[in-house]
Amino acid sequence: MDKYLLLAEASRKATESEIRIVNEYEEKLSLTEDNRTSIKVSCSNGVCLRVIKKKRMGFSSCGNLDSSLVEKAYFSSRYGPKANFSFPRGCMSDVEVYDKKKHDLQELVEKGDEMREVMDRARSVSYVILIQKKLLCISLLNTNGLDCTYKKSTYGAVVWAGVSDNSCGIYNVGWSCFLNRIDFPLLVESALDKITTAQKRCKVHGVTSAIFSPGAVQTLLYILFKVINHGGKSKDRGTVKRNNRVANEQFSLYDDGTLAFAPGSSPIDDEGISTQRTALVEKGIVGGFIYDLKTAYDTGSRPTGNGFGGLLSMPTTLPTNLVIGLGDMSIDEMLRDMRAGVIIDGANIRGQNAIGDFLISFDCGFRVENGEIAGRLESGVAYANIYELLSDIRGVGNELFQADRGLRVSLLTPLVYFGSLNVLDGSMQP
Amino acid sequence: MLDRMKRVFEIPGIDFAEARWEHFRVNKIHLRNREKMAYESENLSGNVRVLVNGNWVFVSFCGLNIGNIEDRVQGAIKTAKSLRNGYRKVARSNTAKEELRYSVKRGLENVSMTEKMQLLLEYNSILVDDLKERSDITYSDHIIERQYCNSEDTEITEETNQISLTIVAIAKEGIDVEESRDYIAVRDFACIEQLSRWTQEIGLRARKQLGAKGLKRDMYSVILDPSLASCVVHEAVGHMSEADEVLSKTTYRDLIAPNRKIGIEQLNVVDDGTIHELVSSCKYDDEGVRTDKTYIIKGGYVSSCLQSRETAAESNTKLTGNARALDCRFPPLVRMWTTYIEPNDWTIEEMIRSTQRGIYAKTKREGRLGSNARFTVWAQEGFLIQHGEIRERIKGVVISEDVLKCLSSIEAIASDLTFFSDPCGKYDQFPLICTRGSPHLKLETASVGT
Repeated sequence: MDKYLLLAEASRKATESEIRIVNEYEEKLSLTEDNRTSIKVSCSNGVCLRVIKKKRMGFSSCGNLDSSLVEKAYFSSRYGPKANFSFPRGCMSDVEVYDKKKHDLQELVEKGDEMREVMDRARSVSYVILIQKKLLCISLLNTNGLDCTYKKSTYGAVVWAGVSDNSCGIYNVGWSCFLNRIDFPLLVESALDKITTAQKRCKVHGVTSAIFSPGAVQTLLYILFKVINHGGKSKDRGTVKRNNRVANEQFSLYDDGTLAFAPGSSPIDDEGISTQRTALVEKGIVGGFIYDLKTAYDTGSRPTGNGFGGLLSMPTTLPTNLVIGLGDMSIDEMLRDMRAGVIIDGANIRGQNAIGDFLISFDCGFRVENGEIAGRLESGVAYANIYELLSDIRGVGNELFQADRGLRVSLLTPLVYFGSLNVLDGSMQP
Repeated sequence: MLDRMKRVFEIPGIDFAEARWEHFRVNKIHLRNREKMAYESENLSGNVRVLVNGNWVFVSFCGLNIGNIEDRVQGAIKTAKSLRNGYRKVARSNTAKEELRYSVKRGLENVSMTEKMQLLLEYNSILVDDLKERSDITYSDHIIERQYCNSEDTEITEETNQISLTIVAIAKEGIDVEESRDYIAVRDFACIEQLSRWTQEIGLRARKQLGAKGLKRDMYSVILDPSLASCVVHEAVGHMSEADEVLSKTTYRDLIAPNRKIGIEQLNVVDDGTIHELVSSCKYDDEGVRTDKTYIIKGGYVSSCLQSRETAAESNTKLTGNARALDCRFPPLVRMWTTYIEPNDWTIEEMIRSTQRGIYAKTKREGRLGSNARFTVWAQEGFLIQHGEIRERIKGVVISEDVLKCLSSIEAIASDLTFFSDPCGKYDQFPLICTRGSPHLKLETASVGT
């Protein structure tokens, strides 16, 4: 079925209709030190139909332009949320997200082999190198005149290097919408540097100062977003509102869907709103929020171009590229100031509650003694409250790093240095 | 579709090949306080996985009009042949020809979206209207038709349902806020129809925890309820016995060495894919290998690891049927089915009476295993025990312990084996439904608190 016919059919039943067609093509190459190579290729199509009927929203999706979508979306609108808004005519921002140069699987293999050569020079290091390419084509049209299509390419590289018995792993990530903007040699060389630093096993237990690496900062942001979205609890346990303080003045956070070459960027969101830069936190004070069409309507705000859905799922409010404002401390200054503490390198959320208490595990960390890295911590756990932690920032780094292992949202962040973190389990007997 | 994909098996130079095809219809309902949303989605997906020159090639598709799958596989194989020869190999299994269906009291075909919505609105009303709490209810059901075939001439078809429900309740009093949550996954819609009491318990749990005191970290005797004890079993024993993890991590390999004494004589830990009434079971795994009941720990000694074709070939051991994939977009990994501790003869009352200074930890909030063989579980409820009696409520009950120390610290195993189905994640494959089970357990001592 033709997309215009489907839209016409939907418009006969509903007040307003919107169709999103997604074509995804992905290649992933995984290489290891012991020649366990795998190649993954996937191609996916999705068609999502959203309707507004009697001021309620309905939704349905499937893998092709199927006329049954109309009846299902119409039926779903009976149970849908209130939708007193209109689908926009749309306007695309000018952002570079598509690499016109073709890079085939063989080229990814060559990049992987170059990285492998560097890793193989360091004897007895086990590693996984992952290189991925994702091509996306999104068409969006609605009954208010929007009819646009854009393409996006995203490339990513991940190096995981295991220390000695693999009980501790180091991640390095790089990404860009343009393959040639990723510094592949730097990723492996810096992983090897970290491994050299991490040879000695150390232990830490209790409250200590902590520097969060980009991967760990990413986890903190996830926790912050979830708490705010879950009814909005701040330090004083009231609803988080504009002008509330959620961190000390060293912390600023932006959402920016217009950053050139960044995986979270796009000219338009999945609802037809052009992407933009939104200040979320400035000097510790909430400056704004991100919205999709519905949440903007519910709160009397303007949509910020943050309505994104999956292949078969309805758009919801999601960040694009998160950027943490630069500070003025170098890593050496942080270490000197800290004297003793930990560096958390990559963390995973292991549970949180409505008021922002959370438990994180970290894959690898470093023990700092006398202002220098003394060795590694293996796979530990820390417990904290997100608001208390963000109010205890002692310094923010003066250099931006890339984080995130996926190709959907990206994070640019400096290192963040906290006064105290409760490490429950970061110990291994030497 | 499967016939088209099977043509790939005839490409010369292939060591092993398999193809999967899946059609699914999904209904999703989300209620948050007074807001509701429901929708339906449908799709077709499939994959071909080929072992060539000791390296894996995996090609998947989702949706129609995805082009020529044979060409895509041929292209990927060509690239794979240009790579260094790999060391991957697979263990062989018996040929199987099966059509699998499951009998349920109420299949999803006979339940309308209206009826589902009505039922969930009743549960929502218990939290929002009766208990004056905030709610977040997520329901999804899948009607799935699957076909699997491989180069060993195995052909399996399966028709199944998968229904999951998460209920979150948030209670507030002054500045104090507590959240409680629980999850259920089943095949039979009849099991979803009688959850009013369960919903109320979730809401009350959040309310009762308001005002509970924090627990200072220290060593205590610990009684774990079946929800938390089974989480320890899943995290600490189950994940550590997955052979791909064992092969890649020295820490795990040392700990899970065959015939190693790891706990008391009464300790038996099993992974079982054959308990057909549970949603996390199937006669065959996602590599076409028959599932089994595998003793991970027997009589306190390490017995077996969980295997896929690749890990079984590498460690030269027998297949256990533990290769599972989240869906057709992913290749199978070594995963658990239903992992549980076999019951013994203690009662919870006897456990409490025998505890002078301890913690009674209830209901899993979260759990994880670290690569250094230490695990952490976080309870939603906790109580202090003093002189054989339960005293006040506490919160921040986080138990973090070395796996070996924990298992060797098990002092008593009760008789009340209970199962819980949960979403489990490994690498990028989340949420795969696994079931965990345990009776109450008593640990002589463990590190608890924040």
